[in-house]
Amino acid sequence: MTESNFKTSVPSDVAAAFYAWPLWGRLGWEDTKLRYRRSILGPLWLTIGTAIMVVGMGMIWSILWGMNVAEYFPYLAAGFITWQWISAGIIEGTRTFSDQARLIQSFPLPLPVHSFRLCVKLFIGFAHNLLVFIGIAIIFSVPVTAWTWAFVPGMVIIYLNCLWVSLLLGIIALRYRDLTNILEVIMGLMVFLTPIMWKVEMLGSKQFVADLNPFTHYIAIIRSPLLGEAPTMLSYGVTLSLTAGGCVLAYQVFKRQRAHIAFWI
Amino acid sequence: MAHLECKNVTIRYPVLDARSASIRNKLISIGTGGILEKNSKNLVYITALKDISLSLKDGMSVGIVGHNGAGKTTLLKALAGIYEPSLGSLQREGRVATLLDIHLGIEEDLTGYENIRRIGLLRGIPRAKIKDAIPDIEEFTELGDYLSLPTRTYSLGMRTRLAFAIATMTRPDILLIDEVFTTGDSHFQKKAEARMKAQLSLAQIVVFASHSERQLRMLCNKCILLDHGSLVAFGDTEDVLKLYENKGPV
Repeated sequence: MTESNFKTSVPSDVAAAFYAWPLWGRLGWEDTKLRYRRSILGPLWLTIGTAIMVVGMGMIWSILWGMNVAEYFPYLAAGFITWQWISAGIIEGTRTFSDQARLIQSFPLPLPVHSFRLCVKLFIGFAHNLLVFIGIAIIFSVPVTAWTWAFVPGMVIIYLNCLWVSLLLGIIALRYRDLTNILEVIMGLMVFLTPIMWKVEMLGSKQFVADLNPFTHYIAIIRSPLLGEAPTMLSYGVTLSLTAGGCVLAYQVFKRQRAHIAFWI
Repeated sequence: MAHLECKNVTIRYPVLDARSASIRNKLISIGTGGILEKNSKNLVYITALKDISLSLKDGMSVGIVGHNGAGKTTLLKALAGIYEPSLGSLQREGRVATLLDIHLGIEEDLTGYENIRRIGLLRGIPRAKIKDAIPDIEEFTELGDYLSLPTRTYSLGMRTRLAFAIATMTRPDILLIDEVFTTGDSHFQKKAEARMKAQLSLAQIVVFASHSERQLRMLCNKCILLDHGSLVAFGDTEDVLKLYENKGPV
């Protein structure tokens, strides 16, 4: 087998990265485990941290909004854990390659491996946070309907978005290091501008403002099913188009910049 | 059959955070390092390798010599496929393994066994082969039950044993080595040397960057002399080393 330039084509590079799943699966899990090394509860701290946040925020905000706790708590929990996943994907996505500088310069791995690894870690984080929602759903007996299972395709959509976002932002942030800081600020603002702690209906006649925000739809495709409701077709339309467009864009950028990644680090 | 071919390989990359304003000349060739250049947009470029053409075939054991920053490690990394050439092309036939920084990738909060699996996967070794290599690593490192403990409990010598055993767990066709690492007690030193020799004799092509002329004479039948990223000479070890000595260290 002769390899020209060792990395024959971009599609085969992506395929090789995918087939290296024992590697990125393991690294993603080890990232989670090592973050909580030597603590007694380990990654369960993720769950506990989120539980405390949700309960704390839920108690005050349900009073502020004058909302029934049994309605507000599941709504907040489902939205908040989804937000954490999305927000971590965007912020940590900017560090996909810069955090792995030493590995990239020492092992000739197919580069998308680093993006896959991050996505595994982020998904493990979400899975831990999901326990918080499940606990709250049991306490407040959130109904399980036919739509509940739609949270699975919702997770698939968000997972796919983590892949392209971490690949794209990972590359851009190597060249423009300020991106991480900019996005941290933006995401800190968006958590308030996105219907997570409040509901779209509260905007009255100005609901379109929330619909213009893509995060509204990304949150809805997981939150609505978890609450036993159907997400709108608009939400599926927006998220699926952005997923497709984002994958194409990230692939094109990766194709052009792949050779530079090892040098920009 | 293994084969490595470089055709006019140039590696040139921008230094993104350099304050180009402070670099006055358009082209600077200083004592060490690759050639610095400044383009019209004031971006600083380093040319780490310049127009390298090489053909390495079965049975070649090639040393790379040159002063600090001459491009020895960059050449090894290009041959490994870590750096893509900016210009020119590379062709390779055969499985390649690198011995660059053997300690890299070892996570001190993971056990010895976990590190074996982790680094094996990072080196692209299939899971089944990693499993097969474990008894050999156990035997070589003599670490016994320590392999089930986090590596942070190891002494420096023990870590080196483990890192070395992991780095040499496969038998590649092409072996790329950066310097030679030597730590640990004399008993381990002998074992390591024997293991290294076995690796070298099984590999069809060895490329070895080093400052030690003794090691180069012992291990290499050919040598490459690099200077500021350019290939100055490629020939028999003795001839190239003589040339290098005459040029004198920069």
